[in-house]
Amino acid sequence: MKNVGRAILALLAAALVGGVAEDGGPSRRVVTRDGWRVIEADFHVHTRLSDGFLSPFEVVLHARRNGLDALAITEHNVTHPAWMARWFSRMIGGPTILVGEEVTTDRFHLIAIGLRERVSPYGDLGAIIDDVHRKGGVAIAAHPVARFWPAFDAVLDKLDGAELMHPLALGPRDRARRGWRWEEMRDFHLRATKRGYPLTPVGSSDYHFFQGLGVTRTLVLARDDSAEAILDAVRAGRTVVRDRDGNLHGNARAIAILTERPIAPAEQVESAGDRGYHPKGVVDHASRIAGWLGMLGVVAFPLARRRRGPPAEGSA
Amino acid sequence: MNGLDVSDDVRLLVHPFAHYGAMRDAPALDARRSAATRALRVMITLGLFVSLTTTGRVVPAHLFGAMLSWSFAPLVQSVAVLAVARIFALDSPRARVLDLYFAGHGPWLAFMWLGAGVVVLAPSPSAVFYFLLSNGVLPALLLAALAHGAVLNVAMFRRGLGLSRGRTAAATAVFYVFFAGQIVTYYLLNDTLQPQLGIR
Repeated sequence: MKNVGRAILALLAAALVGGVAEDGGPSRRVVTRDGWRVIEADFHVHTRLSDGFLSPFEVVLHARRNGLDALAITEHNVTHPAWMARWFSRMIGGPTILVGEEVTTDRFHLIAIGLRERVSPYGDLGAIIDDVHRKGGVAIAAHPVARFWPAFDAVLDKLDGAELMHPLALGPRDRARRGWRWEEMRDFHLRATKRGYPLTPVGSSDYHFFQGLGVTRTLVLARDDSAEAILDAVRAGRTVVRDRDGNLHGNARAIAILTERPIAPAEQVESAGDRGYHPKGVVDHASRIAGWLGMLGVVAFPLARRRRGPPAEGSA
Repeated sequence: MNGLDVSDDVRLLVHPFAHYGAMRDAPALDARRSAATRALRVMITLGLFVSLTTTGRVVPAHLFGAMLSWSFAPLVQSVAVLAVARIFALDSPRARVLDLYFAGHGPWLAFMWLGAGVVVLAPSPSAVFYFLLSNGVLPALLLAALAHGAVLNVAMFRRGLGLSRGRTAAATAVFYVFFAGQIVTYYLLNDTLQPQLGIR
């Protein structure tokens, strides 16, 4: 059994060494266009403190790995995970964290970013959006699928933006659940624009677990990478979102700037969530398999030598 | 199974009642240490699962970060199972109860290992996950893990701790009420559930 234990330890050690050596994302590039800093942002992110897998600290590290310049931590009806992430991010030098909240009710989900304090989820949507604005934030309709339209349609004049790109767009097109279809999000945005409310388009990953943080993201044209500058840009509509069909959405000037000299957003829609899963080479692949086999060892074999007492009295 | 010294989790996965009976007949000499080792096994598996499914690799930040941020899970489970032991006046020491309880996590450990395997081995993990999800395989596996976990809890109370049938049923029900109750309380305190239930 000693040999099995050593083998498990060796596998896990190899996996850790390989993981450390191969881990790391694109270095954060400073991209400017027409005097604006181009920020790659994800404004809808969850952590382990509600229904995600990663702690606020791990989310920050994962955002760096996935080449994001900014993200908003938006937990369901609370903001303390966002403050934790912001503290940690400042300690390690970014990315920029916006304190946010996903105001979550049975009638609508609303992304509030740039908050100074928590927003109560009780009351009607109009009053909640007013509260978001009072607390320094920006109000974005979260995944505005058809079931949420009645609530959002009533407050188009108050909303600052709407999610137009979301991982819902990346699933199999023919199997999308009715009432949770990406096309409904796109249609909501187009309809609002037609009615005279050009909501700032936002692409977010609604990240909960696995690899896909930032798999759908927003390009923001901001003065710099500070939270204030990013919020100003969202308020002014200086964002561009690429949808799953490659179409760009945003105000005409922002699209023109990014079309004139296109940037390659660190793999946006095309990767469909598999970006970080592809091994970089044989060593990387081998260390991953070592980790998985080591995991089997942890599950299947005793971690410590079994020391049993004598059979209990009266047992067979 | 006899030729290979596999973990109690695996043995319980295959023969829940028989192996809990065997564990009762030959208890660990140092139950406290044994329980801690078993809880550690669950945490390491969770850490590896989170790290592999997040990055495809074993990365210290996620391995240890997840072990820390998910540590609430064994804590909540411990509170629930110890409360049951108290209510039903089990004569087994607390460490012994925890030792038996943490031996019965096989279904979840297996589920996590399979999930991590998809990420490590599949050429396009997201396509595989979408397929498993849209065809009901993933939900079925989750349900199976839940159901098998419940069977293991029944086996633990019945054979591992020697409760009668009626008390086993009651202990299992109380365990789940306490376990789910703690999670629900957390979300209620955070105002997460009430607005989604239409409470204005």
